[in-house]
Amino acid sequence: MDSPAYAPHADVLVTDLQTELVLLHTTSSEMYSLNEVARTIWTRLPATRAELLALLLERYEVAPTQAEQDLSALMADLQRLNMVQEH
Amino acid sequence: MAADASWSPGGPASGESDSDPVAFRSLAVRVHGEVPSSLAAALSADWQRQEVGWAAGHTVRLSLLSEPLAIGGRAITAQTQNGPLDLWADGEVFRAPGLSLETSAQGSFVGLSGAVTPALLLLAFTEVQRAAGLLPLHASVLSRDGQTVAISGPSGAGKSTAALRLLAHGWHLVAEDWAWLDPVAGQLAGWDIGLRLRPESLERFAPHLLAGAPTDAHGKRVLNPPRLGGPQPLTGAFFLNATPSPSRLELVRAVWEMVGAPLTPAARRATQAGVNRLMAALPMERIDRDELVRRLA
Repeated sequence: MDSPAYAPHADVLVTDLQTELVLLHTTSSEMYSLNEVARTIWTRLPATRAELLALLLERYEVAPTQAEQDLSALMADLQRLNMVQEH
Repeated sequence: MAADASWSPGGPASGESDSDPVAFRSLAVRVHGEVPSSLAAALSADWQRQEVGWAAGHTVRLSLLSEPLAIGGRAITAQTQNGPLDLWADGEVFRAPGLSLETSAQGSFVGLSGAVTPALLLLAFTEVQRAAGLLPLHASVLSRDGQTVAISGPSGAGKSTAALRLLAHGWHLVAEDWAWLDPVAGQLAGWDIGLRLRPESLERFAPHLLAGAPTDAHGKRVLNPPRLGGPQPLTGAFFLNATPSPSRLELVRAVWEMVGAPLTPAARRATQAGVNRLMAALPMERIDRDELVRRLA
């Protein structure tokens, strides 16, 4: 399988505020707030990029290119903050 | 329990006969097994500071570790109130010299040898209480007329001074800096004793108490006002900090600073669920220390 797989970092604490999901990295103290679409992706982890893309297309009325862009942007943010790890 | 099969602390310590059986209830857990004799008395005393009558459905099995342990796995550093502690994580098992710790939602296993440090022992027992669903609160806690408030904030923010000033207004001390909260029942029990204050704080706010107060190793004066024992219903939390109107994210950070970061997966799951409950149900705000005293006086 050549689709990259992502998993939550073990040092991330998750707080559910109902309207948003808040991630807190325990060593860097960075925080990140997930909206509804991002929450859908986060709660599906660990998963491959292909699986996450399929989930977005199934769950939301979104064009495949848009879904790809949204997923790439989110994963870039989460990897930059060391909140997900790529396997 | 699945954890039984993977529990391999190294077997009974060969040739070590200095062990004592222990069996006691502590907050939300029931502890039993064998520990090195050198630890038995302190362990029992530290974790039975008061009987709170909470359901103790989580069993903690203690066993003796033989040394040296086969240390392996991922090196991690746990941030604790005693500073950073180095451990190795091997799946669900966490090890350090003198300690092997494995937790699940149902029960925990703690292997100990005489080499364990007090800081590691505190970490292990904090983790099992967390796995059982409790949250440790790094906060001063005071109660008056059915209202019980936690006052949290970084060291030096004035938690103890605020507590001292509120004692003069009819509030009772539940905890100076360490309490345990059952987030489902919303009940809290103080776990430490005494009030440690800078001499100038005592001189300014309660000079009549200065004469009889001993000095601790850090130059602080120690007061021992009567503690309100037993579980109290937590009705609010205040975070001492300069930020006047914090965002929701800053409140989330403040709550995690109050409860601390759990280490083991089971403790992490339970603590996250507990924090979610607090965020939904507990009134909380950031406040200046003097404003807090004015508000609650």
